[in-house]
Amino acid sequence: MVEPAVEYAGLGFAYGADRWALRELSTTIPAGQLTALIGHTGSGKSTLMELTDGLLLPTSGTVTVFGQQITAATKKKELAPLRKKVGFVFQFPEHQLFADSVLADVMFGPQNLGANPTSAKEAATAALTRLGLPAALFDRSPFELSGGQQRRVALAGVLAMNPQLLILDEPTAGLDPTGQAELLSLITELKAQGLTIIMITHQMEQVARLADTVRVLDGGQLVFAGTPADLFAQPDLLAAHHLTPPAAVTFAKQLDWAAADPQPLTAATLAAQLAKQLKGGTGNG
Amino acid sequence: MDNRALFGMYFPGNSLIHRLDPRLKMVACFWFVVLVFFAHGWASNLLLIVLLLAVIRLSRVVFAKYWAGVRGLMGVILFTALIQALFSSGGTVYWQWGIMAVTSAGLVQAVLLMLRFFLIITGSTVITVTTTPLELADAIAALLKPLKVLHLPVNQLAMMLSIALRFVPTIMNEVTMIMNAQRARGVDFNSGSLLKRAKHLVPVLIPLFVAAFKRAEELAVAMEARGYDPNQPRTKYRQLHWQRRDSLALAVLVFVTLAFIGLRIWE
Repeated sequence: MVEPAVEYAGLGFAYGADRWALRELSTTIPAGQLTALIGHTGSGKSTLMELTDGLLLPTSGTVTVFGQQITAATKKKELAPLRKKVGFVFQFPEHQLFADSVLADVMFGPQNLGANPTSAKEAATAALTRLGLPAALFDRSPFELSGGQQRRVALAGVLAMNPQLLILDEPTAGLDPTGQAELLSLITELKAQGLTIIMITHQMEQVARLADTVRVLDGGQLVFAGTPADLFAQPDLLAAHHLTPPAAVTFAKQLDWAAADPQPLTAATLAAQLAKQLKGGTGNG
Repeated sequence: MDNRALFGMYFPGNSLIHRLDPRLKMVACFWFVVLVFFAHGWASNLLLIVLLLAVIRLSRVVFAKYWAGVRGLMGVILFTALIQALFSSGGTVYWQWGIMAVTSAGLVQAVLLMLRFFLIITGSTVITVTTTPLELADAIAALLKPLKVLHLPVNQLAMMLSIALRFVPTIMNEVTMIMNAQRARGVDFNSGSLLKRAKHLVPVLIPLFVAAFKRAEELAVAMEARGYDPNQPRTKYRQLHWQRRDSLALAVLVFVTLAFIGLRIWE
């Protein structure tokens, strides 16, 4: 049993009097792993993440992040330590860049948390280096950079605050294929460095490739919690919530292929299994 | 962010006032404000109060809506009235301290001033409460039309107005998103000195402007790609039709104005 980084218990959130975005949600986010959060627009994913970062307070139930409990009665002052633990990278995070230079923008977060300029600068440099941004860009205006670079600067702006939990809202949206691949391998590296990651995504291929566990939301309720393999082994569940399995899963299914065990989730696994099968003749692998 | 100022004001309904031509409503509102400024005596003010109450009653909008408009500006109103009361001279002096004095004339002035504020604010609230922003934009565009003679780009202005209205909710969403993103980076918008709070707006305003300029450019390209030519005459999807009730309302307005002039002469 992996120790949970976040625990939701009977969590509910309503906008206004009776517009419930989340109802009676209970699940955990395991520490040190990458959890994929999927669901359609309006399923409550973003609300759940905003609750996790204390940007919203629960209407009912509790959120516990690394031992700190948040309820409807939590005071705003108590949320500051929470923000130190949780780094939230919004969708199109490059839209939040504002400072004159890349370095100053990345230093913004640590300084807000009370770091002095020297240590903020250290944290910023470390974060930018961690994300592979060349030092030559540090003094440039963030608005001069390419889209992929801007996104990495924005990501560095959050990483510089040294969070234990990183929330990524569709981190690859709007990037070209190279940019997407680069970002995904960065995410894998960050996880290897011990960060707990929650990633909102619509791309099942990413879920299959990167996620250790999956949570599916629909209509403000949790409808699945388990591993990607479990999820994609349940075609009825996927269909009921209008999710499409990754191409590899569909392909193996269409072959009606006994050798597909374990079920291939990514194109790479599928290719390896196929190659083995083709080389080994009719054998069962 | 609070966008009640522009959108939440409209109170859906189907009353006579709701159905009046927005052009008439705008002109009438303007005229009402002019009359308020010419009302000096009790009788003429009373006439305007009666007219306003009648319109409010006809609009079938809960009174709280109108009160909300006044309440927002209560601070300014009270402050101005206080200044007026303390620094006017004439009549009986009740209290004096240095250059400040409370006099009977000053009190009358202050009360009249407050009344004027109430009338003007509530009068214009009638419009925003009973007219959708789109109708208002159409009315402004229609009322500007005569200025075409002066080579004012009326069509373009109308287009700008409707685009601006269209993007208010979008920009509001964006503000919320950027503010959330900066809050996640440790900004606390609700604490600190006034200067500090003003400084906190920089990380919100700069991204907002960048996004707005980008959006404007994209929209311009998209419009041109669909053949938009600002100098062509344009037809309208929503047409404004002058009805009998509009003529009737106009007649009432003229009648009230005549009565007003009569009262002013008599006063």
